Amino acid sequence: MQLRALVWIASLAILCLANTAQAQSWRGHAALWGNYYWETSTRVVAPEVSGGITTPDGVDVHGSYLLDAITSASIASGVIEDIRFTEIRNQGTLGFGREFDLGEAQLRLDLNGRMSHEPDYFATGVTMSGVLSLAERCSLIGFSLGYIHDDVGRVVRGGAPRTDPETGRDLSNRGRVGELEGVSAGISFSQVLSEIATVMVGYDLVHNWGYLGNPYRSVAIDGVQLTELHPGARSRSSFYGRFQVYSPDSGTGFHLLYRVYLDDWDVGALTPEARIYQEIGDSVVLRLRYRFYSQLRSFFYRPVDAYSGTDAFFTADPKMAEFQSHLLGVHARVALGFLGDSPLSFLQDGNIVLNFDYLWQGSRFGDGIIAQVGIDVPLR
Amino acid sequence: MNRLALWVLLLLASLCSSCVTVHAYERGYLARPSMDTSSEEGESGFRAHVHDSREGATGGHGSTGGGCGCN
Repeated sequence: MQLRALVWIASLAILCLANTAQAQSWRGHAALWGNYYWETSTRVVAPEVSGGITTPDGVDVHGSYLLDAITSASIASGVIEDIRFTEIRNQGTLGFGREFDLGEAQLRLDLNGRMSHEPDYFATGVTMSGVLSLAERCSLIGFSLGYIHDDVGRVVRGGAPRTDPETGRDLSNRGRVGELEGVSAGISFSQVLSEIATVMVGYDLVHNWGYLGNPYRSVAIDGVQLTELHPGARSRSSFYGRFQVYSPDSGTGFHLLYRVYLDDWDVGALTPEARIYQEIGDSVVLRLRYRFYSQLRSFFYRPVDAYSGTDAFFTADPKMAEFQSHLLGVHARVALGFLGDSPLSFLQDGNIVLNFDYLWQGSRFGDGIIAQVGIDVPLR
Repeated sequence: MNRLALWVLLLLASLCSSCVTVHAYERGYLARPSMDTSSEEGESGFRAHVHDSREGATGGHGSTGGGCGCN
């Protein structure tokens, strides 16, 4: 039913967007990414391929496919056993967009859909977004509206028996435990301040309801192991901003980012970040970034052994605790023009990207590493 | 909360009142690789997913919550 609705929405988007002709040629791009995440109890390997085309009518069609192989110890299963398991997640996205010329202004509209499937989780989502460009594109007003619907299930993990010893029946799939839904709305404003500086501010509101816990996390209360219980709704607000300035003499860009987050579970967080970009010739850009994250605990968070039978909600989620984290990242982007005289000359207009982030996480997850390598190539 | 919203509105108002038009031919520096962040979209999705699954906060990158079983 949800799939059919998404197909209908996508079809309507194509019809709406493909009505006016603009004399352009076909253009496109393709990208291939290798993503890796490591922490003490989790490894994630996630290759991703994405691409898009722009038709002569000015309609953008883009999509992506991501394969997420998550190998994890039992930290999400209640920290009882040290047994590793691997899950595969498949995610596909599809989107359409077009810019409409309104004379003194331009309006770009986009519609994006997403589906994600793993053995115990099926997620769907659709987002509509737009950007109104004013004053020769010096002022950009953005907005977005989104909706998600997830089916949350539970399968056997770790060392638990997968078949009934008496009947031999397959017990791997323990069925759906709940649904999670959410709506989001966002607005942003970007302004060119001068020939070398821009600023952007925005606000996102997300409201989720339904099953907001994790069926694999449990808490011992009065000697009984119970699946964590979170409130059934959550409203989340984020205010964020970004200031960028460029030094022409040195070819250096300085970016300052900031986010203030509040929700009705009493989780509040501040996320300042600084980035320095250094251009080396016309082919290489290096980036160094530092991100600080600090959050307050939710109103129902306690140490796992401190809950009692009178608590309405209880959690084993490390994300509900008060903690801080630091991220230090290096990044290099290299233009592939040097391949022009080689058998790989079809890549000469592309770029290769290398990214490495180290996370000092004050939460129970422990330190982590994000590593990425990607190549993107324009298609003409 | 209300005070924060007021500050954001004041900032927006001050930006709008001081809007300048920098013509397209004057925006060469803003199109430099170190200022054009559109080239970072390919890497930012996975990173945002990591942060969403490891931090209580979200937002600032179009997230709608949910999306996978790593919550």
